[in-house]
Amino acid sequence: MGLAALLSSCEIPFDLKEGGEPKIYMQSQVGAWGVYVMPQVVQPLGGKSVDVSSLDVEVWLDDEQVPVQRYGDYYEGSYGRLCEEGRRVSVVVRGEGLETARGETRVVHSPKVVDYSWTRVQVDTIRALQVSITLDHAPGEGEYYGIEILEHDQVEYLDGSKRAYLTFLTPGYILTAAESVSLDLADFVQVNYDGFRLGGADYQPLTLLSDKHFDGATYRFYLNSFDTSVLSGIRDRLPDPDTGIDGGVDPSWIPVKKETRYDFYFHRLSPEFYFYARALYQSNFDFLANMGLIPANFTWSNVSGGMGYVGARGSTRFELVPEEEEL
Amino acid sequence: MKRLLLIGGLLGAVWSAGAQELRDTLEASRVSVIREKMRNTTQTGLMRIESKQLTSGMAVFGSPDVIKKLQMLPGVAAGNELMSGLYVHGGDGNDNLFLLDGVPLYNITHFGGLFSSFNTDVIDNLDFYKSGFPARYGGRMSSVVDVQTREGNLEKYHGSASLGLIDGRLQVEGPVVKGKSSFNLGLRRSWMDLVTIPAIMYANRRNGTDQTVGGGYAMWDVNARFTHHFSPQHSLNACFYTGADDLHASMEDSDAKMRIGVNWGSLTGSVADEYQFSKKLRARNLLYYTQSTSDTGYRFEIGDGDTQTVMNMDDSDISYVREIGLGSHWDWYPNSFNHVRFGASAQYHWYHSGRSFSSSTVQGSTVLREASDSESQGYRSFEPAIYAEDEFFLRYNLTLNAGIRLAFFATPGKIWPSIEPRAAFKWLITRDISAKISYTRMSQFAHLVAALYMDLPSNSWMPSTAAARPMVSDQLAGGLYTSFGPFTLNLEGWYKTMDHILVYNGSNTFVPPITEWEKSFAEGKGRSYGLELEATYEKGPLTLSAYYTLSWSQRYFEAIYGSWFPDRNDNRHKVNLVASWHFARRWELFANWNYHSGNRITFPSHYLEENGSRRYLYDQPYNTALPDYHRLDVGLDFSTAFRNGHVLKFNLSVYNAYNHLNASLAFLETKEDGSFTGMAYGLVPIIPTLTVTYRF
Repeated sequence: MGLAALLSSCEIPFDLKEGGEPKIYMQSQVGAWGVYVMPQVVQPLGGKSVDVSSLDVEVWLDDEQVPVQRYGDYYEGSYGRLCEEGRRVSVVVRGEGLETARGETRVVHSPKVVDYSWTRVQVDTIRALQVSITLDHAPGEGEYYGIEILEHDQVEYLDGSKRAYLTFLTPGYILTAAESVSLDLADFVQVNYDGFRLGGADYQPLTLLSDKHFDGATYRFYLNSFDTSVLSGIRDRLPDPDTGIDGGVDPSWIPVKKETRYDFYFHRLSPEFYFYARALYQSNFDFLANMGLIPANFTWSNVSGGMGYVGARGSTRFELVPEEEEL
Repeated sequence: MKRLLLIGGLLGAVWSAGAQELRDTLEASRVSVIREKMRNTTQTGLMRIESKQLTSGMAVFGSPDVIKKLQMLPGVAAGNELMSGLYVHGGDGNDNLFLLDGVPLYNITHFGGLFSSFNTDVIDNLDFYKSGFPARYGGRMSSVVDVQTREGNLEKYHGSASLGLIDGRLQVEGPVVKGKSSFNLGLRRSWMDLVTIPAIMYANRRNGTDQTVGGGYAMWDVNARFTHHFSPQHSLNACFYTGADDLHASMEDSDAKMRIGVNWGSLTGSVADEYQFSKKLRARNLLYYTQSTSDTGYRFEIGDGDTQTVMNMDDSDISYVREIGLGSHWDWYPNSFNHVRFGASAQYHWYHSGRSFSSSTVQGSTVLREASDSESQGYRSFEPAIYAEDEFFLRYNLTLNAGIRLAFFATPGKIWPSIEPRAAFKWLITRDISAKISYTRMSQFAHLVAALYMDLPSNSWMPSTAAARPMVSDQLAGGLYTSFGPFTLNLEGWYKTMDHILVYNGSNTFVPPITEWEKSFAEGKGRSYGLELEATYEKGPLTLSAYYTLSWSQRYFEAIYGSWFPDRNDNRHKVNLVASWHFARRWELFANWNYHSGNRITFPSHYLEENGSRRYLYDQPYNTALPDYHRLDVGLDFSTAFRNGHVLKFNLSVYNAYNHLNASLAFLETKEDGSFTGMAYGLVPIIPTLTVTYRF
């Protein structure tokens, strides 16, 4: 008791690192045809903010500079042809009064998916849709992938009107209770991703995968196994009818039919892309690092002179449409 | 001619004195009463601490603490306040070799690191190596803490009993067969649970509901040593140590039962046979067993009373490392100028980490749902090693200790060899000044698998595997060492590199991985360099010491950051001032002042305005230093002797005497004007402790 009474806390304010300078923060995604770059100026917490009116972006394929076009707040560098896998791509961003930021990666091509399928399975008490994606080879250490799943619903209402809904899904895993106890959240990394930007405001999950997620060449998961309405069938997932002001039901909101399609975007990611996205996810745990309890593993960047990442992605898309009897 | 003879005679005298000094120093490894001066030893980075230094002075919570003594030494970072962290020359804290009577200890703390496992009542001395490791030591990268317990008194029974703020201690020693055999027994136990358990029982009776709660914490350890002298040349030592922590809590009412239990500890036993064949040759053969175990479990039973539906959940985590070792260590003096040590050792290790979970839902006698799962990972490994080192005079004032250690680590699917050269060179510039330089390579085949930087029972040790390479350090150290009358002044520098070090790179922040644990760790490297200054004045009743360290410690992990970054214990400056004054026959005063640059944390460095909100970005790991740390500890001893020779001693220790709350953790705060500041929180205030010791 005495000890507890003695352990009273006390606040100690302290200054942050002084002399911090604004830096260029760039998110650059390298593809087989070209590069998307979104450069921004980030302000220091412990120094003075500055406004920089414009930034210059250069893109290099090996030692050859490629043309760059600006589209609003991002830039696109085009090789003008399909680039071979493994070519070195460098991005350089300059701004007046700012240190020049540079980063590089190597081109990766889209993964070769040789088979994809789904099947109904009964796992314990859960009836799930298990999806299998098979690549042309078993991924090795240092090979990284990502997956996005979009559900498109077309709903027809009682008055004949139709509306489309888009839902972002994530791969599901049915874990036993014991596996849940040992669950390392770093094995289930999901980051916000809107095409080439990471960490934006809208949540569009990209799930990161490494070789340890694969069983040989095959990656298996359950289609949102945590969402029981998906598992129990499409009829249950029709939107609830809205209630009008007078308590009656508007016929334009009574659903009568729904058609569903699942789009799968399967990405091959360069190590830089993977490490950066993983660090972004792990920054959710930064308060524990601040307490000195865990390693600070959320600061990854391959941009010298600035911050951010230059990473490569190659993507392939396929879709699955459930048939009525399957559901 | 006379002049030549005179010079030759003087050189011979100095040489003989040097040789005798060497012999004295070597003997000091067995005879603890000789206080080693850094100037005399060939090794760099060695400090010997004797029993009296360990048992006197500060005693936080009532027990003098070995690790907290070592934390004050230059070149050592302490990490989190009050914990038993020992980060030596930029090391990670799990890369120190702790030996108790020659037996490795894997778990050296109690109470999550608040206390160390070493009971100072039974310790004779300890040697602490930060660099210049002799070839006879191996298996860890950063330091060696070689603790020797004291042989019991061969003639009379003695002992002591102590009671402190948290624990009590009892030590007894004496002859088994007078003049031939003796024992030394030390017991230590916390006594908080003896108070809290009756208090909880009383509270349960008075709370007026059917709910009862229970719980308690206790830690204890036992040290025992038996020594038998067959002859002046032949002796046998049998040593035993066990220490454990037990934490349990429970809650029960008509609908639910919950029990949590955590138990962890160590057990060692050894037999050492020492035989002196002649004045030139002696041998020490050692057989030992050591283990470190932790067992964590919880159980829930939740029922609804009416329908007799009960949900049970059981979880159990058990991990251990066991080791059986055999060693033969020889000392050979072929002449006055050579001291050869050679030997061999072999260790067989069992590493195991397992987790099991089961749950069931039962209605009456019907099982509605049942699930169970378990995972475990076990390894067996074999670690043989041979070594040889020779300490010899090149000239009357030049000494070289050169050695090599060859070790192999056989783990499933892989054999890792390790060739470790060791060399230390001393130049006795004058009788009072020496210069030294050393180079050592050390390998480490054991890795601590932990998700948090804390000494938790859920942590486990795993060996190097085919996927996890042994960690290796290379260290160059050197300095100047002087001693003038009561003054000692030593200046030492080091440069150390560490390869294949591991850092947890997962996100489960409480339960470390078991299967394929290597994949949750990132491999990288570290480097550390710095200067240490040690100044001591020791005369009569007054001893004053000042230690200063200027150091850098950095890490490189490709999976975390693309360049070198500061280590979390990269404390640029460290100062320790230590004073003891025996100002009256019965009174002795102690004071320690500790200062170091703040530990490092990772704070956002930049922000991005995005859709009206701020997103924070980090420029590198451990980019911010917490406010500087400083603390004064004072202590006062009062001893009174009775006519029968027994002594009653009171020790009043005040930790953090001027109640400076040092930063333990920190957060980013936004001020009203939109600017930012760091906000740290201090947790440890002034802690006074009174310890009463009765010596008989």
